[in-house]
Amino acid sequence: MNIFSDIFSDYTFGVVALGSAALGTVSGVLGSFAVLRKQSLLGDGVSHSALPGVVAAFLLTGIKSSGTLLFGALAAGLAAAFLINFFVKRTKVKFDAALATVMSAFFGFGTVLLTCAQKIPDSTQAGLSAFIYGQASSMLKSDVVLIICCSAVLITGVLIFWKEFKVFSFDKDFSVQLGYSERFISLLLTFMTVAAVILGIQTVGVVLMSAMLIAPAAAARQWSGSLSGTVVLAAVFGAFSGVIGSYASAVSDDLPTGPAIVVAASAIAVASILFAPKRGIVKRFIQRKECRIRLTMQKNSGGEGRD
Amino acid sequence: MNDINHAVEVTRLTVAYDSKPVLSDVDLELPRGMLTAVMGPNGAGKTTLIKAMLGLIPKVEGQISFPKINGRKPCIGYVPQSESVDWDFPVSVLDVVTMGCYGRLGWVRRPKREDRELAIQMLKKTGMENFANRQISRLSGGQQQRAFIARALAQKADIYLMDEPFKGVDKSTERSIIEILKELRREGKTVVAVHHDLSTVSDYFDWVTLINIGVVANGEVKKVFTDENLSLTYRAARVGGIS
Amino acid sequence: MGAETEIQLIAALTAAGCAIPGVFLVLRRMSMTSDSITHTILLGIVLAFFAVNDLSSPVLLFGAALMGTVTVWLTELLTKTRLVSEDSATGIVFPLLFSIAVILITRYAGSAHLDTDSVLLGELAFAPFDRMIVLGTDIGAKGLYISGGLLALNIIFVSVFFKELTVVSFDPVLAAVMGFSPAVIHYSLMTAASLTAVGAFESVGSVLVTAFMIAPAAAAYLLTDDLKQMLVLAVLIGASSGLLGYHTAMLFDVSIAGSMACWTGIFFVAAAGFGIFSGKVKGRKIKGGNVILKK
Repeated sequence: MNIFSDIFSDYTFGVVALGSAALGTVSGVLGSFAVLRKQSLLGDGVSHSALPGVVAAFLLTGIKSSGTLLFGALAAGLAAAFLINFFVKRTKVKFDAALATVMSAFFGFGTVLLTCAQKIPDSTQAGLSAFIYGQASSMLKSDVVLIICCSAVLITGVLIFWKEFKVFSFDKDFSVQLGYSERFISLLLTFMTVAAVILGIQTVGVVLMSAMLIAPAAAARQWSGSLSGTVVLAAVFGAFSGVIGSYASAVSDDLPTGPAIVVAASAIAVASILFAPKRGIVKRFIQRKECRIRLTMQKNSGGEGRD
Repeated sequence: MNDINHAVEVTRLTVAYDSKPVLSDVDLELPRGMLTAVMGPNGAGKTTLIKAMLGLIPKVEGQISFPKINGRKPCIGYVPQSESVDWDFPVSVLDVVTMGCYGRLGWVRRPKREDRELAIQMLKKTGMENFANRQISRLSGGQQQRAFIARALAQKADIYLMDEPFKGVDKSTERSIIEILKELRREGKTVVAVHHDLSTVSDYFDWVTLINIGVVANGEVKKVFTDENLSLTYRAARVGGIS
Repeated sequence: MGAETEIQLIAALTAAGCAIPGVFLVLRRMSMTSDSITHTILLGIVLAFFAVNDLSSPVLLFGAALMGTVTVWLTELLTKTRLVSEDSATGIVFPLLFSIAVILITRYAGSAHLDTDSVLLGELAFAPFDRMIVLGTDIGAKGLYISGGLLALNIIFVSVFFKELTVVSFDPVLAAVMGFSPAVIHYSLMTAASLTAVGAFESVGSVLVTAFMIAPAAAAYLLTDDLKQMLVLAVLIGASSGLLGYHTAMLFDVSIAGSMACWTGIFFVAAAGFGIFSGKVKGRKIKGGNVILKK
């Protein structure tokens, strides 16, 4: 029991767990909308696209603080989201191809800028791998404060525009008929998703941030048929994965936090898909068996009747 | 029962998605050399029946067989619903119609000049020869449907399965498609088509199958296409649901 | 052959080879699959490394290619439950496999110099140092043979199965009715894509493989209405991006792979601009809309 009490009183663990939980919550909430709108992979695209923004912010200001770099990332992520949307609307290229093209070109540009940044004597090379894998374990108290504040703002935003987001996610045309500006809602939702993704890059890294967006939301969807249920559950699953992941990483020697969080979130998603009471695979398997038996029984009794 | 006159025989067919039966205990025999309409309300399993005949979905139970014609296995042609393909795909009308020959060619062998000539011939038959080199998205809905019919003709099949061939086409295209179907009948081919328009059934088809999960009625249009059977079929849905 | 020529050739051949499977990925709306495959390759390499314990073994590459196909299979398995949409399935499977790879590397392979950075971001500039030596004779850079071989493999695959690939991509139901199993074609294509990604990541890094697979194909998609032309154009755009990328990188002394990826993006933007300004693309879009309205 000693280890447990040690861990929980450990300052670093407390900070990391709190930050990861907040991050899990906000990505669960916004991820629910992304999953419903079939834009799950937008998070993946945006997070890759943030690289040139991060490096450019560093090159322009020479400052390596989280705030500056996050601002650069946000700008690049938004630019990418805007471009993807533009290409889908104005050309015959489909969403998947526009997304893949924009994100990989942005990422390529990011690596180009990175080689420029490395020429500046004072910069360490740690930048890129931190960007890709995240470095939750080095999270500072100030980072956590930033994450919690931003998460609070984003979640409040979702609550304020709840009705609009709900109608928009389920039935775009209907929401336009109701007089909501499609552009405004779409822009706002995209902006908020991008913000959440950027917030998470630092902790879990580029690649894994998309999982934080999708896995809790996809898991929650299996348990609840309503939007509010899905969003709340996704937030809970997200926060839970954050805590579990940082705990596992704290008790084990070389278990990186970001991937641990993602494995936790994915495990919840897979378990939900298998065992959810209403539509899980196991339940469905049993139902199918029952259905087959019922059909055979009907047929047998029917056959007797005919004879 | 004389097997020789059947194009398709379906026995005790049950298809279910999850636990919900979409088709239940379907017994059907469709006549050879006739135009058959498959009708029923939305969700009655019409498309599922066509797909099951094509062998595309797993059956819970039952069998579907196509009796041999002159001692050989009949060739099946197929016309999909127009929204099931990507119209932006970079192929021309001629390319699409030539695809009809692919089945005869088998793996790896390329289409030859005679295949292209056959495709052009089929385009002429459907009045589409002037559009041969056009990319398929630059066709109207009716022209797209004609291109698909031409492709089915190029398959030189014995039995044609069509999923709503008249959906989204204008009146003149509808008339020309039905002329083509009647010509196929003269050649002794069998056509089975999902159909929606109750008002044209008697003009277009010889045989009608009314389904709603199970078979409600199956027989010659004159005998089976009655108000009583229709209300049985469309009981749960809007009566006379012309969509 | 000088090192510079070798790098340029490798760059052009790699980008051209990637563009070919990319065309079919774009047409089948599976562009993000390339992103997914390029990430999970890492797990394949790690697992194969544990099996053979040799970083230079070709088994690693086979492990990686196999893992690419397994990724596609797992994603499909998840999609088939109809409990999650296809994009969500992709977004669950590949980060999970990637996470497992990262965890395995940190835990067990720390001492083995299995450098994740070199997998994710290859360095083309080092390619000429890795020589192909047959019977004691140096016959050129290894990357040259890998990239050339993959381009050849892709060209052969697509020209032999052109008919099958077209019909399966355009109308899988018709293909199935005609006896061309969509699953066989699909997995052959995915294996080709995985092999190509594996061959390419050493020189350009796995993240940027997506750029070479998708961007040239998407640009070509906007420029032509003919599938064969689209394939040729995609290859040309890929190869040009390789060459232009190399020279730009030399000019500004920056990452070669990165500037190659930038050029694929520039080509795409140019193609989109061409489409929008010629009005061709927009007109088509409206027509497409009509078709949908009619149903």
